[in-house]
Amino acid sequence: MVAAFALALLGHSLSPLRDPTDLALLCALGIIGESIPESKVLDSAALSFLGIVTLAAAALIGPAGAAIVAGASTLLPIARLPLSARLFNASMSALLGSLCGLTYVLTDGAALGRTAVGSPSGLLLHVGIPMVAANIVQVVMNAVLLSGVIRLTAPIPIRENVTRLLESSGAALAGHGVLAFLLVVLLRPGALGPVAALLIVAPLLGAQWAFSQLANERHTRQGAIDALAQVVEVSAGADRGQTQRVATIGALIARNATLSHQQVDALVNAARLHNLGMIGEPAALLIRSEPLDEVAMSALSAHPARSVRMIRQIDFLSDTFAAIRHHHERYDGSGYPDGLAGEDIPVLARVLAVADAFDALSEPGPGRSPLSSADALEELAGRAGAQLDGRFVEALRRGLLDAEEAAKIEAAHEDDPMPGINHDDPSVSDLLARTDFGAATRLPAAGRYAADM
Amino acid sequence: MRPVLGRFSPAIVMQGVAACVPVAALAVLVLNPPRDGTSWLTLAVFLAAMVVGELWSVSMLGVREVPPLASAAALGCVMSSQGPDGAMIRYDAPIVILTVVVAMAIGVGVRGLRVVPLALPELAARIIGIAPTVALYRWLPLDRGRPVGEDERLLVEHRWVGALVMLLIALISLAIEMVLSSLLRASRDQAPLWRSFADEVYDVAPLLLAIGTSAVLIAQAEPFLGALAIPLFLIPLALMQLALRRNAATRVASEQSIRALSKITDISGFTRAGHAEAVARLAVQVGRGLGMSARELVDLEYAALLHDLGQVRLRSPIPDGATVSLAPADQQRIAVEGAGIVRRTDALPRVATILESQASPYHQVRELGEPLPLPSRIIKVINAYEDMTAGRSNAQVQDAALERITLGLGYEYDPDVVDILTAVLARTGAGTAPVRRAS
Repeated sequence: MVAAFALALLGHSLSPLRDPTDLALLCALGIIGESIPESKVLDSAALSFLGIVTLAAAALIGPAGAAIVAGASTLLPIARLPLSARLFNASMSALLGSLCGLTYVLTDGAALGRTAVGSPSGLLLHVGIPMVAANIVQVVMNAVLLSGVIRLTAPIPIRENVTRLLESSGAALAGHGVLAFLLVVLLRPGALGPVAALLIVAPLLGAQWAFSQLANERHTRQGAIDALAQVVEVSAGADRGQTQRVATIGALIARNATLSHQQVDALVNAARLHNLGMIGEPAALLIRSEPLDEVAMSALSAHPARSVRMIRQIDFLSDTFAAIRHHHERYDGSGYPDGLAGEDIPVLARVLAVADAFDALSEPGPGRSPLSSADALEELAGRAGAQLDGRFVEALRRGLLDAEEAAKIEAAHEDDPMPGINHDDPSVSDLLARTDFGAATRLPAAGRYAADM
Repeated sequence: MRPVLGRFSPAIVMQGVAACVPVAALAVLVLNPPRDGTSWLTLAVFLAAMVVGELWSVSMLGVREVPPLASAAALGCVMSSQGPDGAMIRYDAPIVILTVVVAMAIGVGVRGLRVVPLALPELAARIIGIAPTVALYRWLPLDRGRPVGEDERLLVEHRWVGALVMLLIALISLAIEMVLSSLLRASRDQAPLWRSFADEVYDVAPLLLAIGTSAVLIAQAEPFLGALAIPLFLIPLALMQLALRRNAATRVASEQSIRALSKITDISGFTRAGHAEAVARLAVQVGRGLGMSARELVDLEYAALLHDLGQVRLRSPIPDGATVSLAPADQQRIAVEGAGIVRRTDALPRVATILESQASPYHQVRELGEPLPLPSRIIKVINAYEDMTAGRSNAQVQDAALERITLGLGYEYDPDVVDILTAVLARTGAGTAPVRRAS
């Protein structure tokens, strides 16, 4: 807060406050804008009125004005946060506001008086470009400050957070500079006064409206995926919560093996849906004893491809197909359905195999009681290179060092063991590795998707 | 239901009127050649923006396709009147209309090459919508013999009043477009007109409002930014469009997922392949006829697709998956199981509610005063019909099925739903002989 004051004062001495009517108008706009409930779409960072009015104030009123507008817009809207949190946020905003204002002044931004009207090129050069510079400073400093605050509560390195924030919202936030420039053009040379605010707010509210609908649509889409996973659990022999557990374990591995967000998301969906193909296959669901009979074996060997067949018309899941099809491949090449080995097995399929095996071991298995995490990890480590990719077993071990994560996975188990033997149990994998399904079930590698479609 | 305008469908009438507009504009132009100092450069930039916009449309909840950038550029073109340095932008009303039509024609040409389905009646509605705006703004002498577009008091002295007048004119144009578009849809989908218009207001109006204000912003910023104002002030609208397109894509993904879910019972051998799809198709047609909104129709479609989902809990499949021949208690159990699966996701609560009541007989409404959701009543009737015909499009089979349903009218089935189903079947050419209803 002290820093915000100091910077605002410094800015004020460089370029004093101008025009109180603009100040009032921008404050009002900011407060109203920030009172609108935020859209729930996080990754697309819907527009923030705060960013726009702050930038406009930086150009129209100067650094101190930008600090006041930003502070007021954060402090005064109808409260959903306690006062102390709002005060903190407001001083952060004010700090950013004065930084924007200073950037504008230092990049040769024109001090827009009442009568400043230039040619189009002059407007662009002396108002547009400085505003873009102020916008860049705003976006970057916002990410830095935010990561600093997050660092205080969670052990995520600042740099990693800054990159993640910039990646996810940088492009959307950069639009603020352009929008603020438009607002400035209408207010100052345009002299439209409050009508300018009215006109520019309409498309912005429209965009906000569209983004809030996007949140609903995503919720529905997730619901449809959840329903598919539900069907796996009620009818494909998975116990309650199994798909979610495997998804959690898989995500933990993927994050610790530094896979991308997109890969983590794809893995979560793959984990939830990989056993769809077991629906309506009672023979494969209830493995009572070894050796497996032929019906069970052919159902088992077909289920990965069958799972893919059930979801292949869902375009946005296309990045999960490979993981689902190959989640029973073994690292030494003796798995099914295609007998791929080593790095030929798609990455996500290798992660999914580890997650599946770990989860199966923590449930009661053939002739053994549930293993503890440590014992299960040891068992998996022994299978690295044969059944599993050691790299991901190692990533799981690292992930479980975090007590919180380990507890989360531990807590997900219910006292609701499934009947029969889980086909994901590593012992079943060994059993099948010793069996030859015959040439018929194994397709030539090149044609495997073509044959599926 | 009859077409609204007697024997001529609104689509044909509108296309005829719309075709006259550019012809008339051309005729006027030939009689009065363009005056000196016509701002061709500004026109060219507008034309470019309109063409780009024509190719980048967005689907609004399946109500219709709207090209926001093209509409905003067209309206902005109508209302441009002043360039930088106080120079007036000069072009006459017919030139504006021809520019808009040329942009649409180029758009149609390019889309035609890429085999994108065209909506000529919608284009006609847009041409008819923009024509009065051109007349109001650039031609009709409102004040001291001059049209608004040449009134310096509004454009230079009291800019904010001018801005409001422009907004009003833009909104008139968009309102005309909304009315015409709902007429079109009402006649095409055989839905009530009031419902089509309400869908427009709920689902398209916010976008149209943004289009109107963007157009005014362009016209208002041109004195300072020149032609640069056109792309710059389309940015907020483009942003909105981006979100709307993502909406549409996410909606497609949800629909694909629901369809995949509905096929699971087919693939696992519980239900007859294509049954759920057929029920959903018919149910939506019937729902439209009963005046359900676009949003309600989405829920109805999802519920219809998932109505047999509960069968995945069955130990062994029932013959043909036909629930109509099951005992009421078994039908009820399947309905509740399916609803339970959907309910646990907590993202589709309305669909779950519809599924829960889909097996309840209609007489519960009358006798026990138990309200049954309309979508549930629709699914009950359509499911029975589809189970009985088993997908055969043989007229005799269909009539027999309707006959059987008529026997259960009022007790098992909702008579209003059966009425509309009969009308839908008669219209689509299925089930030739209209079913006699004892009344």
